[in-house]
Amino acid sequence: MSERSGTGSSVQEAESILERLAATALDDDYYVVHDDPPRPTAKLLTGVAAAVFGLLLTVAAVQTRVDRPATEVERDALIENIRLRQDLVDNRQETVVGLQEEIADLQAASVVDGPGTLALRAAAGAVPVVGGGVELTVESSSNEDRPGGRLTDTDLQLVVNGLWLAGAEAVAVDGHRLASTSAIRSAGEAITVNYRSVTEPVVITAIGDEDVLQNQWEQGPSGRYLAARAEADGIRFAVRGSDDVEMAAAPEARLSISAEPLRRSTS
Amino acid sequence: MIPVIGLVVGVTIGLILQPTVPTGLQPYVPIAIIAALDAVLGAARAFLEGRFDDRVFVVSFVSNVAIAAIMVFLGDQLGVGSQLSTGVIVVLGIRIFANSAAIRRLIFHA
Repeated sequence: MSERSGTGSSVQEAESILERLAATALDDDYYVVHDDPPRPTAKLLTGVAAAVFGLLLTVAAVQTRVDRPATEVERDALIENIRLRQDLVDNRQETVVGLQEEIADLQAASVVDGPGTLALRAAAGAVPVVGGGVELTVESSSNEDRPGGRLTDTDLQLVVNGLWLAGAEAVAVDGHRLASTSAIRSAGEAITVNYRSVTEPVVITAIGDEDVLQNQWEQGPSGRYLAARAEADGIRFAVRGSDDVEMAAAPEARLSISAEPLRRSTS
Repeated sequence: MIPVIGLVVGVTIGLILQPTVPTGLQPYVPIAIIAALDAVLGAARAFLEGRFDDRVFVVSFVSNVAIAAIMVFLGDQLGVGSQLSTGVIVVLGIRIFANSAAIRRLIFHA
């Protein structure tokens, strides 16, 4: 490279890359002294370069100006499209609701309620039920940092199993009715029942003979387990009988079963 | 004189023909303009300092635009297109400001 005149010293003093950049803003080659006069072609090329620069600027400016309305038109079209599709979805959803009602009506009409059918459907969780039973409230320890003081899916599973063992006819956790394919499991921090998360305090309701249920559960392994958990880890729970326990039907997805009976009963 | 005529001719051509930039080349245009602006301002400063050289200007103009385009292309290929473009703009921007300041000093002596 050539000798810098004037600003040469600042190049050495420049400490950072940015300072150096500012100090050498003018290309070094300009400082080379040329004795021979510029040839005509070089002058012409300078003109061409300037023309290219002007062309670039103009093209970019024109393009931006021309593109703007196009982008806006496109955006409006997209918004309109979204609106139309949303209308369509709304319509379809209305159709879905109507069809679901129709399905329910047809199902209700097609089911011939023989003796025991209703009892079977109640036991399967397919219909809302009401009756006497117990109401169990479970909650994590009040001290959140206590190890093991958090209510787990296993706790709920054991409580529910204990209630079935004690003779419950129908069980619901936080209003979620349990069917034969229901699952109680934890998903991250939350506990889910029928794939819906439940919030504490968890209220478990069971329908059955009030006294029998309560006694059997408390003396069974499940009741003893929860009592031990309460003592060791601070889990809080309360059982009380109730003569008016109501629960909804289990969700449709928990009731659909792909299995078919091997032999049709002749009753 | 020739560069000014060239500039006017270029702008006129652009306004009359209104050519559209192909979609593939669109990301290169802004960077190319910044690079060209750097070369032009450098030339203006050199002109005012009395050391303008046509050859140096043409070479710096072409190489500036080419290198800027290559860096955008490289950034696209590496998946860091916008970052490399930002780097190019920062570096050229500093040079542009430094040259503008020099031009300002030369014209206004302030």
